[in-house]
Amino acid sequence: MIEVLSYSFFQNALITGILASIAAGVVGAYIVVKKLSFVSGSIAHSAFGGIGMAFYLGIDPLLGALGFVTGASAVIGAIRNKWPEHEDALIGCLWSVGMAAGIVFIHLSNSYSNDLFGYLFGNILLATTTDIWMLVALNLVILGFVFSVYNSLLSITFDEEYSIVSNVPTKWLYVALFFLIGLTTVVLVKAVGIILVITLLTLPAATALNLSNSFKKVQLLAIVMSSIATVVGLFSSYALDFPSGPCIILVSVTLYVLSLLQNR
Amino acid sequence: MIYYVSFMSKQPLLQCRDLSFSYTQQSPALEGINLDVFEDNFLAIIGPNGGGKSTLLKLMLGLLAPESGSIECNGDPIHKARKHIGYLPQFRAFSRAFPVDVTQVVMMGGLGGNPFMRRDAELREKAQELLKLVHADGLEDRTISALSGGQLQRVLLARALMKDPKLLILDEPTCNVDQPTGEHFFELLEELNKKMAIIVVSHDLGAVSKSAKTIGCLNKTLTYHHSKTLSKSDIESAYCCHIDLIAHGHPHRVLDCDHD
Repeated sequence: MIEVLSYSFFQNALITGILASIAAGVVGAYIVVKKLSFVSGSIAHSAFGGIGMAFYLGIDPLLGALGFVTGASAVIGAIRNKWPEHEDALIGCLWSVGMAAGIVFIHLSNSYSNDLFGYLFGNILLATTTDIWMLVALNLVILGFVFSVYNSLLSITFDEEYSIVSNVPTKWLYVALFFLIGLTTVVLVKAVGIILVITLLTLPAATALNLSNSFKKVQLLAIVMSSIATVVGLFSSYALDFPSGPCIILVSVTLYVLSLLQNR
Repeated sequence: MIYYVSFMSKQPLLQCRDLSFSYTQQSPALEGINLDVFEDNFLAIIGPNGGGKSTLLKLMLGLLAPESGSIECNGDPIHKARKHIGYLPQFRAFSRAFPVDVTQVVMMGGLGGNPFMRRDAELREKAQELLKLVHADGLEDRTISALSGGQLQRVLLARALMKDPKLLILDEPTCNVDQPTGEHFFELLEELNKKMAIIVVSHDLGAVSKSAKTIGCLNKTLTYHHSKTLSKSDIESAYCCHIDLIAHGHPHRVLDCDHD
């Protein structure tokens, strides 16, 4: 079991998992307390359109995903401000429009490859050193932004109306939060794939929320929970010869159930 | 007449002119509201449910835009001037399960403007001062889910005071607390009124009649005479029913009332 650690692909996978956990824990806490998982699912699935386009243009799929999640967070911000009465339906549409765009692009590029399957369901074992550096950069952007606007970001998720009254740039910060969710999605696509992103964005933070009542602790604990899920998931996927993404998800569900029992 | 002249020469802090608002086209929620609030006022707004009380507060806070008419604070449009306004919303504006402690919540009251300017130390110090002022010291590190209704209202009052407001707006501040707690809360407001104007929406006629300096009655239109006096017909037309004007408390208090 331990011999697997000597393989560089496995080392890369572990590092990728932990880098993904940092982003997922920090941003996931906002998603869980503000109940933004539907919005997050929509942003995550729009990333598939970008990945398809990148295949078509022959550029790095993560760059394509980055472009599409940026657009999606701006669109969702506009929907919330301009058509709040249709928010739920329109965000649901964006979800499938992103997927549809991805499928059209892939059809055009004639390459329904295994690679693509990897982006849908994740294949952390294929993570390269370049991927890792990209994840480091994305993490720095996410952590840097969250740290510099920490109190205002907490305020808009705690009490949106009061933040507006206090002249906190609430609409603008919400778009920024959606963009952070998009960046985190891009980080997580490597680890667990688009379909499973939503679980890693929400479950470790929900687990942490069951165990702590300070927001900072929820964020730190969510990083820990997510790291446990990816590391244990990776080892069990190796031991059982199961796909890695689903293993990571199943471990995080187990952690969540344990936190519920502990909470009672 | 002299009184009238001096009264007119004072610049109101908050000024509503012919303010109207409707949620649906058929029925307006507010019609032709004219209201001047001066810097030492303690105005209570009473009225039936659905009479537009919360809508009026939302207009004053710039959360809704008036359909017609204007609303100004210190001569500026409301979104510019609301840094002078402290606000205490009703409970349901946020989830009490949110993982924050009392100090963090109070600190949020001092935010605004550039979110990249973090002034944590300054805000924390100010928050602790204000928690003392509202008699909530000792609660600094509690999570909000562990507070009683009365404690939470004091904490939210401290949050509303973080920017040293000139006007404090409170929406049903005592509707979820027992009567002695409510009375203490209004005593605190009387104390604060020495430094700022207060507008409070409340169902608690007893507390209102004791603490407020003036009372207005709102049901789509506002009946307000810059005094504590409302005629029985004013109130009955607003509530559309007979109202017993004796309020709770010891000794029984009666709202100032012209029997006409």
